[in-house]
Amino acid sequence: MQFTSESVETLVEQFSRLPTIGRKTARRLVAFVLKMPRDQVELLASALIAVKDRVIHCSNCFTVTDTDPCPICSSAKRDSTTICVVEEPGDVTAIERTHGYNGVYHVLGGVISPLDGIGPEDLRIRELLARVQNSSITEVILGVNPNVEGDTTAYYISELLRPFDIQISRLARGIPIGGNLEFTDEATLGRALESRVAV
Amino acid sequence: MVIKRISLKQFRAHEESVLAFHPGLNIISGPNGTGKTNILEAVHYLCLTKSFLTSNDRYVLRHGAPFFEIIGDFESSTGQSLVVRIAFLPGEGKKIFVNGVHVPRASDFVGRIPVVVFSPDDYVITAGGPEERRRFIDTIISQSSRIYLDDLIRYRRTLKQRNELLQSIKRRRGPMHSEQISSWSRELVDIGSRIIHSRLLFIERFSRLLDEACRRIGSEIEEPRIFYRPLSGDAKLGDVEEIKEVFSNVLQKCAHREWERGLTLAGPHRDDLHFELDGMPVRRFASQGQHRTFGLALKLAQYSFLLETVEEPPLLLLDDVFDNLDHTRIGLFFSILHESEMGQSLITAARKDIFGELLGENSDHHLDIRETIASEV
Ligand SMILES: [Zn+2]
Repeated sequence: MQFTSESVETLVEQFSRLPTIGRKTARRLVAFVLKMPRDQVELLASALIAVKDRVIHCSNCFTVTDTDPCPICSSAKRDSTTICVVEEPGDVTAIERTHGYNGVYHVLGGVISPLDGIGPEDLRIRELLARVQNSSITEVILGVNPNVEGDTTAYYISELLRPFDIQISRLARGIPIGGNLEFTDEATLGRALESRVAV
Repeated sequence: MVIKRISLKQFRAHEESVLAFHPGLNIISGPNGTGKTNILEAVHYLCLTKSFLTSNDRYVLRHGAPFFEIIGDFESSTGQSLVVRIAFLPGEGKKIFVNGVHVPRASDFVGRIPVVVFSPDDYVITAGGPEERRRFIDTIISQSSRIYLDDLIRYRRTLKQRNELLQSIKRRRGPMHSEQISSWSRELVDIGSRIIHSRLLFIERFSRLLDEACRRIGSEIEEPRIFYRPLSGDAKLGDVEEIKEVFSNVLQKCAHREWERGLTLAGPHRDDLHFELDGMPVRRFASQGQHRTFGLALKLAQYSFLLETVEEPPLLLLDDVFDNLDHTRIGLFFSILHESEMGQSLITAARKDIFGELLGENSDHHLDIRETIASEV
């Protein structure tokens, strides 16, 4: 087989490495890029580079940010005595969209899952304990997904937090069983936040 | 629920087949190897999104074919129509569509079309290992309770995770990780106790129906009893909280053995059911014939249970069961299937003449597989 354009094939190859993109979709994306004006392609390319160069993890809550600490951690308007513990940075965005939460966050970077070789030491649990120990936290909301890995991670963390004199709660109702926070609609997520339960 | 029509593409022996069914009794006859059983298997797929013969979707794919597709037109007792389509592509898995809408999780669909399978292998429920009996009750309760099915799926996932953790500790001969194990134990106990509780409630109701079913099929089996003693104990278990306490204690007691073996050693995944006839354990003392009749009674009781719970007559799939019955029993069983509360039944048989006079004038009940498929496609 011979390609008429090595560059096209290279881009198809790169696109199809992305999740949910098959080769067919990758070809359509390349065809689209070929028709785009040059300045728009430049914007796209530089946005890709910028995401790698500029985005860092907040040293306090570990969400993705351009500035350290992140805008949420450095805002005076946020209630820094309440921490919502989530799995991924995408969950922070999901909860922010509800406009129903004024506390701060802590991104674990995943959940405990022996089948994926992920133990507590691979998550930012030590960092969470340090935050609870060193600042005046009064409440921790466990905003992990309601699947068995999320449940177990929540149990694990709540046991570690038990010695501290703080309120611990868990997002519960509203999110469909086996559901995913990032893809839950705002209304549902809002209700789930309101009806959080103590664990 | 009634199935009116089914179409199969690249499913087992069927390259492309279409069949129409009668709302009552249907006899599907034809020589072995013509794909009679596979029609029942396909109907089962449409009801529960899986086969009753294999757990691997690849095996039902016609040899060398790139995909299979099954479409069924159903009608509920209230006249609602339901078109179910299941397509399987190796590497991409199974997709389920109900009235044209994609159903992402099988558990969102299972239970809408209740089904009971009668098969010559039913004697293994009483004669085989504990996993046969667990599968038997799990299939029934899952069809009648979405929560139970969700719990089962979550329990299996938790079990796999917990076993993997125990295994990895064993492999590395590392520390106990007791905090992590106890977090998994808590999840296991939470879900497992709900499963045990549902099973206990189920057995209570099912005993009565089993008693009835045994009386209907004759005198060979008398005073059937069914017991479920969860967590291999004799403790009288009441509510879920009580079960949780017992389950936690049992897990704690076997912690050291679990650590040695790298395996979760207690829970509903290791429980067994016990059957008795006239006060004797069926598994050890029943004759081959009694196992068969008992299997039949269990399936009839399953039918009654689903009818009561789901409020939609289940489909009956009878795979070659008549071939092993004597003439009197064929007549008796046939008359049970004719009773008004029984729904649609699809029956496979090598020869239709074993039914003798029973079929009567209603020749539209009978589908000769070679003729039907040839004429419908
Ligand atoms: Zn931050």
